[in-house]
Amino acid sequence: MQEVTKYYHGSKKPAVEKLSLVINPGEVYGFLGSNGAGKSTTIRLLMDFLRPTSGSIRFFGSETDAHVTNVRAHIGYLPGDVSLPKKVTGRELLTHLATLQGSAFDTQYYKELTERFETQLDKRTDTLSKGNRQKIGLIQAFMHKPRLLILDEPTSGLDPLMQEQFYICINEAKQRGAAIFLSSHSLGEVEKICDRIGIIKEGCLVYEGLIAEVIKSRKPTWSIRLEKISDIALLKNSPHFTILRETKNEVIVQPTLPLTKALGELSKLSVVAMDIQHADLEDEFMHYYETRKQS
Amino acid sequence: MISILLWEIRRRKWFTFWWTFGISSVVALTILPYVSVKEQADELTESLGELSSSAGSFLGGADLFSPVGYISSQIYYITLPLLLIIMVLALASSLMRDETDATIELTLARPVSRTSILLGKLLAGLMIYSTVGIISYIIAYICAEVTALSINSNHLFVTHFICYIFAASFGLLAFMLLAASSRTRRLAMPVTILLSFGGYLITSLAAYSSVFDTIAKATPYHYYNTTKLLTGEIQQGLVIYLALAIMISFGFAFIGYNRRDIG
Repeated sequence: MQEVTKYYHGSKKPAVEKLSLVINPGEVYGFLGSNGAGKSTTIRLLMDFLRPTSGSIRFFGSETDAHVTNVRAHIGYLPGDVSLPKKVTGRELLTHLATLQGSAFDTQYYKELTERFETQLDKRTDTLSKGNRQKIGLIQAFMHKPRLLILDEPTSGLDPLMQEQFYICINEAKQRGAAIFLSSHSLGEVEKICDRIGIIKEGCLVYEGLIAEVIKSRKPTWSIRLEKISDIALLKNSPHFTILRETKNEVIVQPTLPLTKALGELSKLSVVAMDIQHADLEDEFMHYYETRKQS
Repeated sequence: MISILLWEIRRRKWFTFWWTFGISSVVALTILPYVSVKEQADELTESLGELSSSAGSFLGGADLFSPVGYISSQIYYITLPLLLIIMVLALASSLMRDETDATIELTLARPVSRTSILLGKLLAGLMIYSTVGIISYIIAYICAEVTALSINSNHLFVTHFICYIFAASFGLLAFMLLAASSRTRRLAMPVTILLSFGGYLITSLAAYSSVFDTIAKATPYHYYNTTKLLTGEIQQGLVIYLALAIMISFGFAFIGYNRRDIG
């Protein structure tokens, strides 16, 4: 995806602006962003449901343009908030989709997936719960062992056991050398399965990096409870701490000094209790979002 | 394309059954009572002659009790085309609903071109519509034979066929507007209903006022004269309208669907 911009009809603001993304074979790419940031637009552009205003999208090196139909034989797609046709059973729907898939369809793997996800194939889709609809959505995305998986909120509505099955499927696809592009609101999940992340905000990619780098660079946060309210002001004015959040008598900070020196600074205040936590991806995500918001 | 065609037909088997049953029943229940009308046809025609000519235009003509007048006014001028227009609009809307409820995404994600998807849907619609058309024609033919309607069977077939094409032209127009762009989607039903039902009203009112007469010439109903069709006369204007409607609808639907954003 190179320098892709998309304006919706009648909108003066682009939904996605000069977005460039490269997803490598065998890589799981996590695409993060708040609601309306441009995640779904990006995914729909990738799937050729939306046509870019400018820029180009290419799959599998420079082999083919996005709109060439045959490319989709090698793509597995899961829409966000899966909608299934009504008045048909899961089995009928999957059989129909498999027929459209043509020769690329792997019958054995399809059976394996339906067993793994404990899918209710003979119930009508309009009587299924969100979780069960999601399972059918996942099966249709994985069943032909695609070279590229594009998944929008893949674990939405799945119980923890099924989420584990999904992680296994992702791992298998990765082992096969498939490129996986997923958007998720579950940052814990992204941290667990992704190799690289991109953060999109207001249609622009504001951060891109390896998860390993994010983990390596993350700093611990200190949750400090103070006896005197006046000490909160002192802490806020201190150049040695970055204030992340605060409540009435508790402040969550990130020290900018080495540990021993920071502890020394804290000993001057009326600290009642203290808890040290390692920032997770959520804090990092919030950090990028907040920083950009301020700037 | 064949997979999409079969899928759409399979999903609409009950739709096809009930519309075939309903329309065939209406045809049978309208033609069969002619047995009792036939005996009093002359007296009834005389009574009707006392009414204004414009009143008769709402019913498709003043000659309501001759075999041609009866079948034209009771079936082919109003009842059958209006029922078929309702059916064909419901069918077009149902075939294109997958975009509104986002289920189209699962199909579009497969190695199937947009042209194949649209063609599959269109052919499915055509096959469903033809099933209703063929069965109701067979019923009309049998009923006409039973009631000994002295209408040439070829003329009956042509009238039935043109009635179906005439109603289908509105369905195609709706289908084109639904397929062509996200902006025309919203206009599909209002425009088609206005052109079909509104056209019928304006053409009927044309007998009352010259203003309506002028407007009526711009509506398809103006060129749809079933009495002439049943006597073997095919209006050139109607054929031109049908050919244009079909070609333009096909063209715009396919070009628009291939170029626009979906979903």
